[in-house]
Amino acid sequence: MDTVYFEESIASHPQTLRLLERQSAARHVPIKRYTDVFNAAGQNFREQKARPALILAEKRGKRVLPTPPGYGIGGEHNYYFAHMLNCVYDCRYCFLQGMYRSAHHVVFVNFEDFFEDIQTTAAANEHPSWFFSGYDCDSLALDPLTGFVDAMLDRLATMDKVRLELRTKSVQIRPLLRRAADTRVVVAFSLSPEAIVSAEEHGTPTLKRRLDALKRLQAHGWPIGLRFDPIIASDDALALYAEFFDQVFDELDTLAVHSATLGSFRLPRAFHSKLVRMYPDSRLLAAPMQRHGDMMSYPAEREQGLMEYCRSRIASAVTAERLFECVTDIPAPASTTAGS
Amino acid sequence: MPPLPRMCIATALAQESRPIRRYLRLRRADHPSLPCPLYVSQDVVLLETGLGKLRAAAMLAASLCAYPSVRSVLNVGIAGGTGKQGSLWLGHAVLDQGSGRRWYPDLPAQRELPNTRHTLVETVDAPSTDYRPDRIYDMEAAGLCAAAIPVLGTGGICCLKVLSDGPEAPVELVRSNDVSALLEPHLPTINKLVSHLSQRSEPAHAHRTAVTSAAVAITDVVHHSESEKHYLHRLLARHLALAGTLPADTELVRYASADVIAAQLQQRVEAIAIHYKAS
Repeated sequence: MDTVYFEESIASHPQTLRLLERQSAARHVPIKRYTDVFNAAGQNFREQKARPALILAEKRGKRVLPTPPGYGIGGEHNYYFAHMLNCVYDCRYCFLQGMYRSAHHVVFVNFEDFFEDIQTTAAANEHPSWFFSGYDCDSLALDPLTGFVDAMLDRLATMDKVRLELRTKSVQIRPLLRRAADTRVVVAFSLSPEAIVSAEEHGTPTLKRRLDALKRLQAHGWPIGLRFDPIIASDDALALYAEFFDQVFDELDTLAVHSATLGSFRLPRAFHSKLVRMYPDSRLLAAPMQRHGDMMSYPAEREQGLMEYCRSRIASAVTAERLFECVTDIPAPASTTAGS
Repeated sequence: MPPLPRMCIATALAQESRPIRRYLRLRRADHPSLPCPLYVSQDVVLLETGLGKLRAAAMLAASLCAYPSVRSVLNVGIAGGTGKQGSLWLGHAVLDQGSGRRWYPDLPAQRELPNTRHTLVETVDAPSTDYRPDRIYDMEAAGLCAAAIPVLGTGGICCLKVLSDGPEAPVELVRSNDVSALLEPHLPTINKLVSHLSQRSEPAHAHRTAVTSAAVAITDVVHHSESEKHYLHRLLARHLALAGTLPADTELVRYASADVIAAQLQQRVEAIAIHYKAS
């Protein structure tokens, strides 16, 4: 990173000091509030994406939020949190491009407050609660910098009723392989056919590298999740996804997969319009879309057969009680096509 | 052909602009809507806005209208501060002392400005002798940010300042000849940054330009309302994104109305096959 902004109020926080030390060659710029930079008008997301800055901030207010109704992987109580905002990857379908004005990466350094809130939230429920990381960021991609995973998993040892999903496209799995697997944590990878990875998921590891990472995690005992979301429609999608599912299910021990989710391409209409303005040259965004309430998605006739096919292929490998669908009519932004 | 500058350099004083316009070989020019000294080359326009943030904002706003091809603004000038006299500083943020408003321009890569220190630039309404160590003081940057950012975005402005006065060098003792001399050693750095900023282009510029040309070729022949033009643009953009080419306008203009053209074009766009495997 060329530039690191940091809130003056957390200048002496150990995590801030550590990150500034790690980024000692960057320009260090003190700011009052992260929103002064991150929410400023006149930013060009596409331009900034080429050279984003890092912003170190304190997360105030609500740090843990309930997921939209219908979202989950079998648990009764579901929440999400974002210790970072934005993603190092550049997936053309990602809602973050439509949601934020800035492409800079925000890291909230007060991990301890997140852990406290997670513990308090879980304690209020009788049954275990699921906490999803990776909505507003990739859970692992910046981990070599942030060290969040180690800090979270260390703390998890004292949180009986917490279940955690780390959602990612990243192969930065070293912190997970360095420690004993925790069966309360699901490491969930978003997967797409390689042709879609290379065309639309810019900067992400290839499908093969993701599958290799999944295999290593499985071998180490970590529960893994497969996230087939979003399914991207095209005229050769059936052939593409047929080959893709063969590859995924051949490589992995499907009996040991914790859960699989399936989701169609969907974006809030306002985000879709913003993305189209930003990327008028994007093939994915130029494809036929239809409005469904406040959401944009493929016309039913374009994706119905494809979704049915994907559903049946996944169901042949993963039992019904471990397969979950993300439905399109739940509110934005957390239900929309996510970054990881 | 009149110049189509992509880059605007804004200085307040003639003493600030003189070494730059010599170094970049800019020639004096006139523009009917710009009542300030103006110098141009094919790629660069330089303004001497005069002193103060309001003059700076007004002149820059007028110049962005007069030269709509400009994509970046570089503010070069002198400033007061506690650092070494003659040192070069990049403004990492700009504060308008009067209103308290702050701007955070996107900063150029460090390789474009090696060994250049950075700090907050506080724009004051009158020269100040109350120097704080965490900032430098000028009289124009806030006005330039206020005018440039709504048009060019936070990536469209950069402020470079050379320290001319400070606790050890009182502002009253700075002579006009000193100003040019202070800037001289930094001209290669300024020139490097000008070259870099001149290359800034609108994302997907080629795509947008091709679509606009194709749309104009159609709307010149067949009447379109504003909303029909907007829809035509979108359909042409989708055609180009999906097929990699634009439809020949000669085919489309034979249709009698905007409605029919849109319907035809939509049909073609929807029929374009999307294959990922071969891409």
